[in-house]
Amino acid sequence: MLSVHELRYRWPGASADCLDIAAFELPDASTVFLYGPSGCGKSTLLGLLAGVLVAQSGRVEFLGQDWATLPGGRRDARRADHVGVVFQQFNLLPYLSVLDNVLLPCRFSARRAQRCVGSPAAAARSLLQRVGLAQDLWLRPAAALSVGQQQRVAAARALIGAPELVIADEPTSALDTALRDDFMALLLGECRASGATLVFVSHDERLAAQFDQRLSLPDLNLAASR
Amino acid sequence: MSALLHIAARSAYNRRGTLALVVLSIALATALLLTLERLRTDIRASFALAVSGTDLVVGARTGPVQLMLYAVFRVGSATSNIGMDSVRAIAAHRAVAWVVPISLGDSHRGRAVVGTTPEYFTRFAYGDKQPLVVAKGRVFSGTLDGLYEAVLGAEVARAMGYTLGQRIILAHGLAGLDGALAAEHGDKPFTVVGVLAATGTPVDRSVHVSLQALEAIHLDWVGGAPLPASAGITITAENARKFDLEPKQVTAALVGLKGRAAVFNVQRFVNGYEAEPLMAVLPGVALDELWAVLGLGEKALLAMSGLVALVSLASLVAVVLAGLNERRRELAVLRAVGAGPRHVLLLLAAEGAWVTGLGAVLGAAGAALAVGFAGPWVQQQFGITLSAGAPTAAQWGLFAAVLAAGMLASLVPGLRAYRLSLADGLSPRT
Repeated sequence: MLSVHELRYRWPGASADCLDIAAFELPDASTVFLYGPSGCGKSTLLGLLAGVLVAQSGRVEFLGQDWATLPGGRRDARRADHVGVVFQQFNLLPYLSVLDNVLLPCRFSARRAQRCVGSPAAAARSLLQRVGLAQDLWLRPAAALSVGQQQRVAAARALIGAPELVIADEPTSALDTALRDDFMALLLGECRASGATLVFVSHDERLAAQFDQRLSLPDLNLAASR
Repeated sequence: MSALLHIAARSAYNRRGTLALVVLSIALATALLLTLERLRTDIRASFALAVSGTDLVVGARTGPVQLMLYAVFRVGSATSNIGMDSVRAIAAHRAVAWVVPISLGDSHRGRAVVGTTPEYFTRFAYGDKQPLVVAKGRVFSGTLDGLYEAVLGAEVARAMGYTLGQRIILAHGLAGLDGALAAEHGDKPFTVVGVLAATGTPVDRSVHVSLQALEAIHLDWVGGAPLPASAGITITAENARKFDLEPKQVTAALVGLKGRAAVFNVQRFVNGYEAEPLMAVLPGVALDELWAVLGLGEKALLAMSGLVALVSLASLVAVVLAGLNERRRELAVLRAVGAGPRHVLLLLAAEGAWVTGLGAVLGAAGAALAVGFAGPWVQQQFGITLSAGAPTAAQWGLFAAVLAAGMLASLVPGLRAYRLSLADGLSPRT
């Protein structure tokens, strides 16, 4: 699914490498907890895994293809086809309805639209139902939702069209404990149900127990120890 | 692609308040630019059409521009006159159809007084050979009985509130508007017998009297001042009729030919006239020369409207750039669901194009409405006929320039967003 070899990444204008990772591998349909303190390069690694950033050296292979060998447009298309993303917050376009937000990946990727069970709209409704969002909210603008509700919609959006990889960047840090546990259960459950690999990033090690695999970025990252 | 445009539309609708202001400012700039351009071409047109149907203008030897200035536009004064003998000699030339002498120098409350013959009203033409039309009353008779009759241009009658039967007094020389400094011909008042229809030419600002009347009011004057009462020579208005009132000199003459082909022939004849130094100019050529001088003001107008357009386009860029930071999250979301940096660029450029296009179209409509509604008023106030017709080539050019500049300007924030989204990675680093 994902394999990283001799990865080095330096932000433009920076004087030292941000990431220097010898190797790691993520199998299909696994759930991975990636943790480390703030500023250790977690988001940068996610950008590299999702093909938004390209490493200066080394390989990041996703589904057997190194991101660096693809031109920008192809990387964007590939990401749209195979990757779902949940951010910490502000996941939704506030002026679109909840339903339209969930359908966004299908607008950029024909593959995601095709992989929906039934029509994309039907798949979106079914996902919204599964993440427990009341039906009367579906046509409201996303801006009208609470933070907890927005994260559920974001999860539904990341999962629509069954992408092979779901990336979640601290998706629970804006939620209180009760909401956080609900959301964790939902995200893990849905990813396992659809067979997606989940890469979940957090600085909160208490969440680690529920995952198949745990990776500590400070341990992986040779640049941090220099 | 269509999904992207749909999102662009929804996003723009979400920020409609700010965007409406940008559209408004572009619309205002476009309207100003197009109206100024219309004004510029129409001023030029009314200027070029100040005289037509006259083949040559003849005066004392001076510069062509100066001759046009005083003979046609009634600005400034002649340095010397031409003799009536010369005028008669020109009239006798076999290629000449008609000659209308004009005599200038007096004024009425700041408006030029033109001494001429009744033939002036049938021979003089403006615009596309449009003749003068008497709106009220009649032209002066040119006989001794009707010696003190005056025909007013449209603007004179309107500005002074004069109508038929009004008694007016002419002032000697070109005095200020109130005539305070000029000696007046108070002993020989004129009666208004006719008012001309508006033409948008200097005729509107002229008072027309007969050549004989000008002779009559100057009978007891010497060297630009009335003879002092001590001299004991005063000639009443009534008595003036007993004198020989045939003018010896006039200021200039308008000449019409039997055929255009002879124009250079006659011009050579006049320029080479031996009895006194004369000059004949072709009105069209001299008008072009004159316009070249006045063209500076025209360029200033154009430069000003260009600056206005520049400022409003700069405001478009500023508004979009200022909104970019708050849109970074939106763009990050779009990138996360599969939009590439080029989609982001397209999104912003499409919005800029729409905003500019809408503003430009609204501005053009506004300009057309303004010309349509204000046209009659401008014609009345300034004598400039604004044509509300189809846009000129230059107007189309300006319209296209606004559109092109607007789209280019919207690429500036687009490119910045492109670079930001490349550097941001998956989530905005702020």
